Amino acid sequence: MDFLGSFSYAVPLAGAALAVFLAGFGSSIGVGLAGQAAGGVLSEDPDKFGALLILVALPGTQGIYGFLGGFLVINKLGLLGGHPAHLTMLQAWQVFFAALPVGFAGWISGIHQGKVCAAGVAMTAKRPETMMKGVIYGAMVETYAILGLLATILLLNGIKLS
Amino acid sequence: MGIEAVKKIRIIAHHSVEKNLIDYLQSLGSMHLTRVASETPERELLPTEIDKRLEEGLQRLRLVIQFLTPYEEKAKGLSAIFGNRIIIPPEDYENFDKEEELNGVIEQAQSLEQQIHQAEAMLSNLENEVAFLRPWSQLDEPPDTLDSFYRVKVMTGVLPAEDLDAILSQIGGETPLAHVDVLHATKREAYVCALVHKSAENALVDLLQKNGFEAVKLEGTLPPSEQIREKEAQMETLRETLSGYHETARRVAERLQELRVLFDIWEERLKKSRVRQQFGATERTVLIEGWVPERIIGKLRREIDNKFQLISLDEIEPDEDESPPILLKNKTLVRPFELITELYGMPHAKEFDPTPFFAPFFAIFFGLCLTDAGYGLVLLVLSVWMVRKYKILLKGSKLIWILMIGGIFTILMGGITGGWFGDMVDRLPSALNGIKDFKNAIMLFDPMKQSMIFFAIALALGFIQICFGLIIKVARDFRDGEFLDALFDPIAWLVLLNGAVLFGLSGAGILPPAFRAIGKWALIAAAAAIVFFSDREKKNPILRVVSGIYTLYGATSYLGDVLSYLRLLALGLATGVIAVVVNIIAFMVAGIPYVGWLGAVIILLGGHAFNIAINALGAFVHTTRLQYVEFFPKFFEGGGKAFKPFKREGKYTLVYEAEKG
Repeated sequence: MDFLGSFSYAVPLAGAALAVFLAGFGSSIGVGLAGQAAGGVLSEDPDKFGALLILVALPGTQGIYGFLGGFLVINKLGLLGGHPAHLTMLQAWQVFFAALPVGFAGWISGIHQGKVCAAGVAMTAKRPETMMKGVIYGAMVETYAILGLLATILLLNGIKLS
Repeated sequence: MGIEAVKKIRIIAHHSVEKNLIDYLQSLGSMHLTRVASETPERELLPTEIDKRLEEGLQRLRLVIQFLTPYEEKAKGLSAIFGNRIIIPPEDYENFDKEEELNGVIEQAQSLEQQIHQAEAMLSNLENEVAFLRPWSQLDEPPDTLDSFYRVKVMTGVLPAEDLDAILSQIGGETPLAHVDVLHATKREAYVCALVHKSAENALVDLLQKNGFEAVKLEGTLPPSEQIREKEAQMETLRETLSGYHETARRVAERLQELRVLFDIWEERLKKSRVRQQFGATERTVLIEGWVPERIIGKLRREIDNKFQLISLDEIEPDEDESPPILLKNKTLVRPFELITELYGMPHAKEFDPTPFFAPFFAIFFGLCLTDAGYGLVLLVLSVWMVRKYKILLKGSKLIWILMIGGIFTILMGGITGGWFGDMVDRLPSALNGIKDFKNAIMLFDPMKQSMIFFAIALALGFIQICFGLIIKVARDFRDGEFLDALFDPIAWLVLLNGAVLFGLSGAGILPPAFRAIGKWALIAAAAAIVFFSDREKKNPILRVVSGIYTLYGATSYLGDVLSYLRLLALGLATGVIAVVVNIIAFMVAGIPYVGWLGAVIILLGGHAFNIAINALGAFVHTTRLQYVEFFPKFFEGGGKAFKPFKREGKYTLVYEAEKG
């Protein structure tokens, strides 16, 4: 592979990396926020562990979506056991940009979902029966991470590689 | 189907049967009690002496249970989650005769707790004392004798360790009649004993104080090291006593289950006494009002007449501003989904129960979010196993049934998309080609390669559900006789949405071009209807049209609603891709010589378990959200209050009558 050809792989791989780690940032901050809130509640009432676990785990999905986006990019490039696709520089950048929606949407929405879930934790602490309502509010934020993932999937689908 | 009809009744009974009547109503478990209106003479129902004693007893018992719980042997695994309720037959519960005995146990536990507290406090005191004495253990003399010298003054205390050498040499230089021993030194402090001839005492004290000396007063007729030994011996005895106490506590904790039953019995007694505050009363009679399902009124009347004398039961009209509590009643397969409705809030008395309308969608959506037949099997097997194992405890649990039905639909959706633990089937050795053939035979499309098909399915399902919601609204308006409302709101929107779809699909060449014109005119007619007639109350035609245009702008929200169903695609793909990733990693690890297979098995089990857990949660949450946010607003108002029957609800116990025969 010539110099330009191997360089062209760096671009989409940077996109895959961004998708994974930006969404991972979001989820780790989000889960962190919810987890801290839950830890405080558990010190008073350890029986709520199961109910709070769901609220704490909820902002974790962005990281998974980001990972998924990264995987789809790698799969698209044929780097997993297949025959690596031949890329032009233009295609390399196309794949790069296709990877961004899930990364950025996951990053910011992960943080905010964490805040909503932390509020849900506080709500569940006072009124355990409202737990599912907190979960649904958290899912409202997650919509935008899902849309980001969807955009990445559709964009990748639209890029034709030989 | 839908909402159970309930009637308000009033029971008037003589005081003498009140207690038995309450017991009966509780065991019936089907009456939603209401407070009797205040026109009837309120009776004096201050908490009685007995109530107060019960409350105190409960408080004591709560503390005792709290204290004993750590000493109890822990249940393991799933039993720890589901098995902690005590299942007890009603005869045993109602004839519980260990109250006297358990009162003794409560007292024993309380005094035990106090003894443990005392012993622990003493122990920690002794620990502090030993820690205080420890640095002085080099001192060979009993502290009390240090004060008794005739010419020599002895001082003990702490000097800062930092410039100890400088201080010592200064003392040596300035006060020759003094001698300072360093008994023990840490990084920050030096524990010293200073001897000085009484003539030089003041000089030394000045010098020491200038250098930050802090006197420490030691006491005792034994040297510190002896004192430490003595105290350590005491601590040893105390520890033994404590472990004896802990042993006793463990033995007492064996009675915990009985104590918990007693707790529930007392609480129920208190509840039964307090419920009387809602009743009305006259000099000789008591008035009980509440709601019961209409279908049991006949049975209730018969039973009451048989069991009690001096009693009457009447159906009464509810107060004007009073709406009946809502009791959902659905067929077996739909009933589990009532959980979703209950979480949102009950429908009000004049509308349909949404449960049967969304239940099929829920099951399909849940399946689509997972789209893996293997995962569906796991959910199905797991939920069936749990229902069998915890038959009694999970009796009322709707969630487990949702998981079971969701599992079945996941198998269906996984079957048509060819997902069996990701791409596991394709990785099987060729000897098992039969399985592969089976998979391919029922597979309709591959969502990874043909994601546009999945895309279309998600949008189509969304469109269908939203139209369905509007149709329910039409039905409700027709039932209520509001035909104009039906025509200019849900029907207009139905025509508009379907017209737009026809127009778009024939434009894209999927439908024949003839539909293009139909779609176009339907679209225009519906839009006109909405613009001119959606706000019929307004007299001013300009304001009316402006308001209509704004309503028409709501079409964007329909677009957003339909697009929101694309989450089914994203979640479905996510599950499948992660499953494939787990397989790839596991088969990579399997290549490692000797231990590879073990690693692969661990990764497969852990990875797929994780994927099922996280995506089943996601599937449940997002499917629920689609009902709440996209489907319900089309026709559902909510705001009813739930029917809460007066029944037995133990904190720890489940009184359960074993099925006969």
